Amino acid sequence: MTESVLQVEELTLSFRTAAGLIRVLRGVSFDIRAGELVGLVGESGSGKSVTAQAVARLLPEETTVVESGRILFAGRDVCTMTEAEMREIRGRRIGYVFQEPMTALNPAMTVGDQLMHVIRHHHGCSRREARQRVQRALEEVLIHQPDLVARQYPFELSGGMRQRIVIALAMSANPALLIADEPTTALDVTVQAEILKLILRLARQHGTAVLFITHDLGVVSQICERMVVLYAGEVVERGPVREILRHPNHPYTRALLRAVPDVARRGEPLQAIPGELPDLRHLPPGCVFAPRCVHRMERCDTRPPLRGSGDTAVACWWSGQEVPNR
Amino acid sequence: MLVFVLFGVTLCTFFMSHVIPGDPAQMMAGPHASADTIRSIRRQLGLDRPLWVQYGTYLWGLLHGDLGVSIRTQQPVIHDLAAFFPATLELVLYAFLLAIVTGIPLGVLAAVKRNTVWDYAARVVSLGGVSVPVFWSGLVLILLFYARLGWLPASGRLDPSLPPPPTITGLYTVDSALTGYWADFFNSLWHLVLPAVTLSYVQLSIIVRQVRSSMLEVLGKEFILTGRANGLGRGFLIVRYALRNALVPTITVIGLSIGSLLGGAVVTETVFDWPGMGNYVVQSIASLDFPAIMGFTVVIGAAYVLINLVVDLLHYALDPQIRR
Repeated sequence: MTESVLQVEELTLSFRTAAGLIRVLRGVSFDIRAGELVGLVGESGSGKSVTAQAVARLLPEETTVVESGRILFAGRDVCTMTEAEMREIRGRRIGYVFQEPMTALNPAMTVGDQLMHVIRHHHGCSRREARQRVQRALEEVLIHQPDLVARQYPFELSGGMRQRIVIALAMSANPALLIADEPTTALDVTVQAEILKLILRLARQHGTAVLFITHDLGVVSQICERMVVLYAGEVVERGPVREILRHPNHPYTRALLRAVPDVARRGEPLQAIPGELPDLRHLPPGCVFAPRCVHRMERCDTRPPLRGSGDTAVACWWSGQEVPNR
Repeated sequence: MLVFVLFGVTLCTFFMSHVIPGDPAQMMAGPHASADTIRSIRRQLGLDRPLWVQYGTYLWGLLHGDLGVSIRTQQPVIHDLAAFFPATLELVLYAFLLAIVTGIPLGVLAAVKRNTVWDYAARVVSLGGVSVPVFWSGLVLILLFYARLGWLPASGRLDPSLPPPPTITGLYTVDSALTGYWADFFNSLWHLVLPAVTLSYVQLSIIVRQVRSSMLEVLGKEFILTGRANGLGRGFLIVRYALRNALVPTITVIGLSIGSLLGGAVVTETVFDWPGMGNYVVQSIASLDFPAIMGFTVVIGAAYVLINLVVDLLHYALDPQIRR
C-alpha cells in the first residue's frame, strides 16, 4: 500500500453563526494515496466543498471552528500550522480548482500576468524564465496559441478556456495534491469532457493525487478510483468506485445511483430521492439518512458507525445483511 | 461636450443672477446717487438693453475669450480670475492629494479589518466629514491649532514679512521650490495645512466610504480565494487584486466629489482669508458683480468638464473591459 498524501481523520467542524455553532462536518474520515484519484460525492449542502476548503484551510478563520479530528497532509496536521506554513503549502503542494471559472480569475489582469505572479511566487525565478514557464504551463493545458492567450483578459476567454487557465495556475508548482471542486459543473457538456480528460492526463503525467468533488456519479465512474459519499456532513459510504457502483451498500448511495440518468435505461422514470437534506441544526438522533430512507427500521434511531474492511466502509445497520430489494 | 456644458452653465447663471433683486448700477453709484447717474451707469454697463441681447453679447464675448469687465474692480474679469486662480488651484490640489493619500489607505484598512476598532474609527471619521459643514470644521481647527495651541497660521498664503517667490506657476510651494526660496516654501506649506485639511475632510470621507464598500465587495469575490489557494500573499492580494479592482468604481466617485471640493473651496477660502477665486467670488456676489460671478461659473464649469474627461481616461486605463 502506498503512502497517503492526505488523511482526514474524524474531522468535526462547525461554523460560528448568529444562531450559534452549526456543525457542518461530523467525524469525516478518508484518505488519498499518492497519485490516486478520489471522488467526494454528495448533494449540494452535504459538506463536500467545506471539506475541501478545510484541507487547504481556505475557510474564514474567524467563523470556522475545528472541534476535533486532524487533517494530515504529508504527515503534518494542516489545522495546527501557522498561516506562513500554510502559504508554503497552498498552491505549491496543494493545487485548487474552483467550480466557477467565470469568477475565479482576476478580471483586471491578463491571464499571462496572473500565471506569472503565481509562478514567480512558487519558483522565485526571473521574469524571463517565468515567461517561459507561463508559456509551458499554457501549452500543458492544451492552449494552442499561448502567446496570444497570455495577453488576454479573462472576460475575453470562454468558460472552458478560463477553466484551463485555472488548472494551469493550480498545476503550476506541480503539487502533490490537486483539489478539484466541481470543476466541470459550470461548463457545457462537450467542454466538460475535455476538462475531465485534461485533469486526468495531468494527474497521471505528474503523479498528482486528486480529490475530485462532484455530485455527478457519471464523472466519478469515469475518472476516479475510489469514492467517498458524504451526506449531511457525514461519510455514509466509501470504497473503490467499481465495487460501489456495482454493489452500493448504503441506501443513500443506491438512491443516488437510481437518480442518475442512464442512456441504457431509456424510458424508465428517474427516481428522485424523497425529502430533503436535514436541517444541520436539528439532526435526527440516529442515522442522518433515516428520515428519507425506505429501509428504515427501529435500530436506525441510534447512530450507525462507519464499519468495513480494507478500503470499503459503510455507515448503515443493514450492511452485511440482505436488504429487502425495493 | 465642453461647449454644451458651458452653454447650459452660462444660460442658467446669467438669467438667475439677473432675476434676483438688486441693481449693480445702484451699488456702484452709492446710496446717495441721483437717478440720472444711475441711469447713465446702467447704459454704460448695457443693463438697459433686453436680457437676451445682454446674454447674446456676453456669449459673443465668451467666444472671443472676453469675460467682460468686473463692475467692482474695473478690471477685465479674466485678469482678476487669472490672478486669483493659482491660489485656489494650490489649495484644491493639496486638499485633493491629502484626501486621496489618506482616504484610500483608510478605506482599505477599514475593509480589511472589518468590524474592528479600525473600521469603527474610519466610520466615525467619515461620518463626521459628510455631516459637519466646512465652515464649522474650519473654525474649530482655527480655534484649536491657531488660537489655543498657536501651532499653525490661520490666514493667508504666506507671512506678510516674506516676499512672495518669483511667479512661474503661481503656486507658491512649487515656485519657491523651483527657485530655491526655501523659507517661502516651508512657510507657504505651513499656511496650507489648516485650509487644506479643512477642505479635504469632506472628500476624504467620501473616499473612505467608497473604498471601504468596494473593497468589501471585491474581497468577497472568488478570484481572491483563487489567489489565496494559489499561495499568493495577503498584501499582494489586497493591493494588486482587490484594490486594483475596487479603484474602478472609486474613481467615478472621486471625480464626482471634486465638485464638493470646488464648492468647499469657496467657503474654506472665506474662513481662512485665502486670496483665491472663492474669496473673489464671494465679494463679487456681495456687490452684485455679474461679470465676475459669470466668469467664476464658467471657469468652474470648464474645470468640471475637464475632471470628467480625466475620470473617463482613468477608467480607460484601469478597466480592461472598456479598453478592448
